[in-house]
Amino acid sequence: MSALELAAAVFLLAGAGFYLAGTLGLLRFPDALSRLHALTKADNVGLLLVCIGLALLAGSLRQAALLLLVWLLALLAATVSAHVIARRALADGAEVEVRDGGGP
Amino acid sequence: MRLGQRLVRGIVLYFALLLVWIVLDGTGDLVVGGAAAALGAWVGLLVAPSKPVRQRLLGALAFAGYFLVESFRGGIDVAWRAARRDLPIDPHLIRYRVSLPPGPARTLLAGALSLLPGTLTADSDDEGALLTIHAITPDPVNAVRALEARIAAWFILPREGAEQEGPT
Repeated sequence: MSALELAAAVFLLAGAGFYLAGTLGLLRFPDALSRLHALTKADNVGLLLVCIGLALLAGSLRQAALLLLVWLLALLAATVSAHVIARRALADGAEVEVRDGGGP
Repeated sequence: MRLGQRLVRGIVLYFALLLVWIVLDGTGDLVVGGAAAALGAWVGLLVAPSKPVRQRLLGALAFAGYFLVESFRGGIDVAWRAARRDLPIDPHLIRYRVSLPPGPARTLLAGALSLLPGTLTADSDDEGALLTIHAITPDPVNAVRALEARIAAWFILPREGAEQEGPT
């Protein structure tokens, strides 16, 4: 195993670890809105690490750029879908404490 | 928007889209890619806001670095909270009055908030001026203000917008 392959394996495993943590949060957090935190943030970092690991093994610059594009598009999808699901959860009457936070 | 500005924006958009095509498909079908990029640039100009938003290159780079670091912090933070036996989260909502003017700066704020530690954009009014933010950490307001400041350092924002009903 070359140093590059070793580095790629480290990134891939670290990425998988974040996916695992995100799934753990999905299972353990008490309500829909909190679960979204686990999914969006942990999976975002997990995918980035997986993409870096794969980019290290990529044969060309184009493949590496493709992985970057995959990450950016997944990022966009994650934040938009989290927003839509959160809005629906609130509209459906999710019970969350509202606190004073610098707004009316 | 002046004609010259539109032309420059169209050309930038065209080459950006062409680059995405090459990344996706390689250079084998550049005729199709060039046509698709031209169509995309044309539609992009049609739907673009009439007043272009000016940006600072250094601010954009600084934001990218900040976003990357904060993404990792957000991922590590939520992973740690999910793994702890006592599940240390504090879910609540705050209403946040945005100080950024309407446009891409507000869209970016609402989007990036969900990927940064502790916060999630749960709802907003039609103009994006009042955000309903879901937080799992006790004091999210300072983090939101910091993100706003980073975005304000990227976009060159109209002065009257920056002064409207800020959170402070």
